[in-house]
Amino acid sequence: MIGVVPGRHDVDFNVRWKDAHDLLCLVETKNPAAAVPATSAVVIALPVIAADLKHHLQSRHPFPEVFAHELLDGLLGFHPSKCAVMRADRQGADFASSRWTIFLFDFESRDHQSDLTVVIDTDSFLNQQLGGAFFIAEIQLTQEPLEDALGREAVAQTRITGREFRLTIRSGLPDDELSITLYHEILEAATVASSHPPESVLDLNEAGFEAAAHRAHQTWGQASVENLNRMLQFYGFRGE
Amino acid sequence: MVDQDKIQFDLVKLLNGERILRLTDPRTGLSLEKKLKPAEAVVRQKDLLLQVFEAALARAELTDA
Repeated sequence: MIGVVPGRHDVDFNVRWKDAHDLLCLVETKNPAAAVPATSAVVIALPVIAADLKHHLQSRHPFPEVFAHELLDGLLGFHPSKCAVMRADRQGADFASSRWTIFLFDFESRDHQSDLTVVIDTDSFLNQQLGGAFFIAEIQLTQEPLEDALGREAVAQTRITGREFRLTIRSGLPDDELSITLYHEILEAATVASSHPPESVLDLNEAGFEAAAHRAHQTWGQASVENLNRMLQFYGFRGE
Repeated sequence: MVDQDKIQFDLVKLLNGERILRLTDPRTGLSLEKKLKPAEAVVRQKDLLLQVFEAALARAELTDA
């Protein structure tokens, strides 16, 4: 995932997950002239423990070593300028969650914190009407290897029951890929779910759906309920 | 003709980019899947698979009767 940490610092950060399984992330300044404060560190927290961390920070307690030990599997590299690379472990964490919180610590002030703006929050799609007829009942980002009935490895699966879609997508995709995957899955699912799909999708093959998803991502940006609806309306889905 | 809303469709994207379309009738457990041909329109392939599935379902129900 790529997000921006606004915070009280002078620079914005890009946070890029390098390895979703190990929670390895790269933090770099968006402004090439700016530098990551030498005294800063980034801790990636999951919702289960985020509240505890917030409480700890609000109490102005010194940097919580206990959390450092619990969260950080090891400091892989920490550069006073440009970037910092850290790794957090998954201990006690609900790893399946798509919501993340980033805490930006300033070791001097000890109480600076920022919430990561997650570009795609998959929960926001749930139970919202799509194309006037469909809705997403579930999106699961799974770390477990996806396999079909014959044991073939899969990257995504969309189950369509009537008007209801249930998506399972392998976790760890960069935001742009996740966005394109969502556009693709929803457009193809709406097409398959329709008894009489719009003419504009009648001739689309797999490459056609993929190209449509890329165009949608380029035209409307990151997948959201609003943008999925824009795409579905563009292709003529207006409810059956 | 079977009510399409009562059939479960699974679209599976495999690691190698191939796409599987699986139809399942939850009532009987009958399931039929096809690897989609990348160059052919998905709608036509789904319609053909649905016809085959309906025929198989009808046969299964006759056998059970």
